[in-house]
Amino acid sequence: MNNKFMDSLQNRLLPIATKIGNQKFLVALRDSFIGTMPAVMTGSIALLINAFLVDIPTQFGWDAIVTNMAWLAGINSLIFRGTVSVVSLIFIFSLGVNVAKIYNTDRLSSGIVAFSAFIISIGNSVSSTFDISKVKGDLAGALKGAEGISIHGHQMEVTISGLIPGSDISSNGYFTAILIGFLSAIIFSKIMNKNWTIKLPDSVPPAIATPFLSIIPAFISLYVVGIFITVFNNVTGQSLLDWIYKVLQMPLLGMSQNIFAVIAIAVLTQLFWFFGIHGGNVMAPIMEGVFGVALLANLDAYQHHEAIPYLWTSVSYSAFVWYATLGLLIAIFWQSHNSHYREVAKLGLAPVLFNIGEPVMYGLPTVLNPLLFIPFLLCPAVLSAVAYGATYFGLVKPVTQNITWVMPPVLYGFFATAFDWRSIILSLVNLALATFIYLPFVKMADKQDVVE
Amino acid sequence: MIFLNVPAQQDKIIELLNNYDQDGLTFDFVDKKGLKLRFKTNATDLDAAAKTAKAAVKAEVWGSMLSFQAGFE
Repeated sequence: MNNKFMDSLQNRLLPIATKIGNQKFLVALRDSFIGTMPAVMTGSIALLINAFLVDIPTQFGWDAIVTNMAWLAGINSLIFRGTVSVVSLIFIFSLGVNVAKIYNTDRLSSGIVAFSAFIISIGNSVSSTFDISKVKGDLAGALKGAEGISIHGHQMEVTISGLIPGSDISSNGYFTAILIGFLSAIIFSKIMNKNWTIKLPDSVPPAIATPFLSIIPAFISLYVVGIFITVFNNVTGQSLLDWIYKVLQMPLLGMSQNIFAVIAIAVLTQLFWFFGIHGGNVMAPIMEGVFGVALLANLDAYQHHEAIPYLWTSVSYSAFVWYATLGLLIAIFWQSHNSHYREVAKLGLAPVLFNIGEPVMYGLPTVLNPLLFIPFLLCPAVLSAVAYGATYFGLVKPVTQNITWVMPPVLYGFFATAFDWRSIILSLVNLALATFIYLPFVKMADKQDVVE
Repeated sequence: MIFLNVPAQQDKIIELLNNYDQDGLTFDFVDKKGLKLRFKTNATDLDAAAKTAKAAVKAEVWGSMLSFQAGFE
């Protein structure tokens, strides 16, 4: 591959990456996802511990473990309930704070305004429908006039008001949170910067004066959201969240579950890395905004023993795709006579076992190395296709756990699929594939070494 | 001596660090070998100097999305 082609490709990719990296709203979105990490990771660990305490022992009939550790499983469920189950609430605050960072204004107030705006935009009642065909007597008559109860034929609908629906503040509410978060926090921040604020004398301490400054911007922002939601609900007859979930979130997540989308994202991320651009950062809006939301939905479904909704999540890439560099190192140890390659492989092995690729990436190097361009892109394409296929055909369970990124390959998949032993085979197959894809190119490097 | 293993924007990085002078810390470009750019520095704490150089590049509009390694020798 000639340098002219590489330079031309790099020159095309760099401006794109720079634009994405400096698009302030995309950066705010990315940072808001990352901002939820402490809570989301804690909830994920709680879920994983419960898989150890409940799911595995149940599989093997070790009921004593389940019974004796029920107290700890209960604590873990509480942790999950306060983190992943309410992830949209955590995210909306994070988004409010990050939008205020862009406008260099009061971050705490902006977070609070975004939080309130989101509550304004979601439901405030929970309804359930019951079949009463087998109930004897005049139930309709007995319950006539009871608040929140309506009976139509054999169906009784019970509505309890004054509750925040759990489904609205879980991952289902993410896209609404993005829209309302930006709307409310931008209005708030812009009005703050216009100085439409209540001025207090200089003698008032900042701790008191700062919230006062935010009152008018918060008032305007929340009323704009309130009016918008009221008009929307009246015109469409449904809540904004339900509408966004159906019209935007579900279709977008559905598209992300297409094998070509999964492969394209893998190859594109790797392409950026190849040219020395931080692929993870550039692709973060898609990776976290789409595949990350799919992961949260899977976590929630796993916790509630429901059908797992998504085949592919952001963690699926880490579990089955991103460790291709280990395949490269195996190919080098196995067949390479290139002294430099072998030396870098020795130094890079330990970090790579914990998914730290930099020593190999810059030491070998793999970045901007024309010889490795093809396998560098081919590996994620093949590995993601194989892993997707295995999940699609039910050979391996979908990823339902959020695992820390330093988890060694193979174990990563095992943990991420909630201990599906078949994931170990899939991980090993993918590792072998990566090794064989890199092998001919590693041998070509031998010849290059001799020539040099 | 500090180094930056960086595959992109090398010319801009050399220019940026050659002109860097904050808190008395300076860098002087020495040589380039493939991805590796080496700089002389007046700092005594080379680890901190390498981190400062990396932060300076990351702070630039064109540098925020770059992936690279900074170290010392």
